[in-house]
Amino acid sequence: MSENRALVIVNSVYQLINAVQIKRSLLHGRPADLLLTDILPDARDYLPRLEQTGLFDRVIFALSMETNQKYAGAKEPELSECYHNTANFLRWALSDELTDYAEIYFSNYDVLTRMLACRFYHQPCAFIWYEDGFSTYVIDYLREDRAPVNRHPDGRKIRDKVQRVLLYEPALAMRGDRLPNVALPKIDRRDSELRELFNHIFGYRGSARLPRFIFLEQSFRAEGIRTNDIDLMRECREAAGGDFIVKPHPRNRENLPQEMGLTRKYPDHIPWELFLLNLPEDEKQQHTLLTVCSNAALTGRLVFGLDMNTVMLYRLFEGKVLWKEDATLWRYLERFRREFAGRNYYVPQTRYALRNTLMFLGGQNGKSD
Amino acid sequence: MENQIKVSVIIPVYQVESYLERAVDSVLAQTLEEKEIILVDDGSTDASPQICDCYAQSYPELIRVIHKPNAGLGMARNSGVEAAKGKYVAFLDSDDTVETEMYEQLYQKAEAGNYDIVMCDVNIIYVEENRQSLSRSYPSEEIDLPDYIANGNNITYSVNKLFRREIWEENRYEKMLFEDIALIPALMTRYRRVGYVQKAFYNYYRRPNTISTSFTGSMADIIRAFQMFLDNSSPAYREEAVYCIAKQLYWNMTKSRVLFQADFITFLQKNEKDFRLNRFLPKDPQTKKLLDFLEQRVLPERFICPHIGREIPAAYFEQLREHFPHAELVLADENFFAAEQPPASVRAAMTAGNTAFAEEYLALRILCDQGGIVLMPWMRANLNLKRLRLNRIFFGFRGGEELETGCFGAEKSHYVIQALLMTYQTENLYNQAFLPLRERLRDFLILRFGLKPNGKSQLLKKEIQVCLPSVLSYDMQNGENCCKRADIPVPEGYQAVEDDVLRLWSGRILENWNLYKKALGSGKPLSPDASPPAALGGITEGELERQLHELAKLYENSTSWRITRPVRALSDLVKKIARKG
Repeated sequence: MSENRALVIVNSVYQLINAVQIKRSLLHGRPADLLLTDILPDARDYLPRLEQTGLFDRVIFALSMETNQKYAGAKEPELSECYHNTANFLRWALSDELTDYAEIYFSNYDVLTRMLACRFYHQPCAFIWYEDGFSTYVIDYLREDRAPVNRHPDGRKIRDKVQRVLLYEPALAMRGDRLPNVALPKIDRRDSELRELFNHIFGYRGSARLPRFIFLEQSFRAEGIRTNDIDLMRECREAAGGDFIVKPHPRNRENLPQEMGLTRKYPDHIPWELFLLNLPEDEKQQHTLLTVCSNAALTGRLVFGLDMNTVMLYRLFEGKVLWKEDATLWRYLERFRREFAGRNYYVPQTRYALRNTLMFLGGQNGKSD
Repeated sequence: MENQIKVSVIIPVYQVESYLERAVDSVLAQTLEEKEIILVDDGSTDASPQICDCYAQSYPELIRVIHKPNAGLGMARNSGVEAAKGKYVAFLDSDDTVETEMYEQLYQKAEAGNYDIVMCDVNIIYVEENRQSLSRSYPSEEIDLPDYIANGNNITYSVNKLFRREIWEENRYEKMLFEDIALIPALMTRYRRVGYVQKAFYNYYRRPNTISTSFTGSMADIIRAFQMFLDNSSPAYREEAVYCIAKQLYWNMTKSRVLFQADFITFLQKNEKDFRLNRFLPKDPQTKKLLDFLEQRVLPERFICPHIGREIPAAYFEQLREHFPHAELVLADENFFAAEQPPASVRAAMTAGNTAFAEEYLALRILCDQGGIVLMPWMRANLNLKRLRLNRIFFGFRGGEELETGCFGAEKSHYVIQALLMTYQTENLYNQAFLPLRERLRDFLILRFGLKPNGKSQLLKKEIQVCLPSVLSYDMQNGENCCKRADIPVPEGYQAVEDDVLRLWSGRILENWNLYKKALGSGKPLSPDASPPAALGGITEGELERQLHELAKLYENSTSWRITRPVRALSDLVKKIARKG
């Protein structure tokens, strides 16, 4: 095996897109393996198509979801037991054996990644944290008071291994962890070869059509946070006048918006990022994204430099917290608005402004389908 | 014969067919024989002119009639003065009367003392209340002029005085209301030989809804009158004149003409040094409260009317002239932008033909620069709008959630208006979509000041007044309307009102009524807020109760009350003994 080899760990569609981008840009010409986990829904379906592309030398599959969930908030003695079994776990969970790596790219500080840090702790292997939405910009995941695992002798080993962070917009970073932020080249939507590559990997035909107003749901209910997101959806639907759909968040167990009659069924076969990537240039202003503060609404701008109509509703949010790192997230969202958002980015501060915004963006207030 | 006329009695006549004969007869009955009566018919349209002519025919030696187009009381008196031939001149209002010896006694006093002016007391007859009271002009027949000017009564009246006719060679009434106040007290400071007969010869009939008890826009003339009193007084008596004005001002501001309070405050502030340095005021605990008003900021009576590409209806000007005859009107059209380039958003709106957007910017721009009240061409203001000048900044609801931007006001350079103007410079939805000002304003007030969009009256941050829809948009005939929309064509006598405003209004009445009933049931004293709203006229029972309380307090502190206190105490004692017995 080459000493220059890299391993890229992927837990989601967004990470897979970024992994491909990393391979085609920063790791261009270098040997690399891909580690795809079962956290990515239907991950096994991607395996043959990924192998067909020849981008990565090996595509290794990992069963890490169960262990991640089991030890997500664990304390002693469970943590010691977990990391004591690192070698056993890796042997059992991975579909193929790992080799030596010069760099390991990851997005989540989950059990699998931390175990790999233990596994390669004494080897010259750099861990590189890559973009996974605004959490990568905002959260210092390794802060000791954040979780018991950060104080555990093995769990915290990754702190010594992480060298830098890859971000599409390094200037937006505000984690405060002193890790250097390095630019990850944006994906060029005009690169038809790349688009075809993604479409092949995801089995996407590129002809999906969505309504004008697309509300991106978040995982508040899955996380037990009481909010007014349903009210906001209703308000948006009213102002939109019917040409409206809610994209459910996969972590929410039930599709409450659909059950409440606020939306028709969202076509599951359309990965969000693929929809954005394939959106013709002349159609991009025909859609408006609505969300409290979902990273998915910012993806188009961050990853593709796509300036779509985006209405962020976080100023109208009523709930205890938007997120754990509430204050920092607010700072991030406001900074994004001021410095990166562009002309088609709206942050209504009253429900009247929301109604006016949607009317301006083509809504037919009160006229439902 | 002419040089034998001792007193010319001038009676201006206007629409007084019911009272005129009584007035003239009271002069004819005078014991003074060498007199003339000059009836000045000021363009009456009732039977008054005929009554005048009839008298002239019946008494050709004594009575002359002048018919002239209507020009007001002062001008009528001036006409009478020009025609007068007597050595002295007196004025009688055509709905009042004089006692039979009045002119003889005043004439004799004038002759005996070589006085320029001689006065008497006034008997005030409250017609509907069937009572009268004596208004004593001065405690002693020997007039100490400085003290009289400072503390005397009836100083502003024309009618209780006899004037040497020469005075009128160089003085005239102004064409205005309150022409007496503007002229007579100043005359007293300049013609200092003043005599006094301490008898109530003049009967002043006071009726409700006469010109002196109902409000009109031209009543703001009282401010001009006070200023003329001050300006035309002899500098030797300026301190006394200021104190005399201060007392009248305080009464007017707090009791009789509260509606005009902003005008009075403006006057007070204009003459600040006179009031602040006056030596009488610190010794008068009641009147010195006037000085507190010097601190209050009021909006200038300036109306700002932007109109781009549209004519302003004649009714707009008519109503303004009627209710605010002294107001400044700032009209601004697209030419304003020739001198000052508007922000890109306004230019874009103009290019897109959205003149309403540009008009609203223009309104804010001028309001910020000059202060005052924005009154859009489709709005009609009434006299009540004066009340809102006591705010530093005000807006109003048009409905439950909508704000009214046809009428709003602010003082010069108010930071809220500055901030709103700034929003036209930045990229935002309001500029992109050319949203009306009411959308921008509502969001701004919600976000910065916590406005609740519920159609209810609110005072934000103790400064920004947001009024009910019935104040600035719709006249609900409850006396609180200041301004209303005129852009909805309705038949005469009707008022178009949005249904949610009607719901809010009815809800409010019901709420007040329920509170009132609850308070009644509790047996506790009613708070003003718990009173039911008045059907008409805008005075609540709470307000009435407050005023009665004030009156009782006034009476308790009055001299007459203190004098009779021992008698009342004795009477109470006798009643107690009788009950026990």
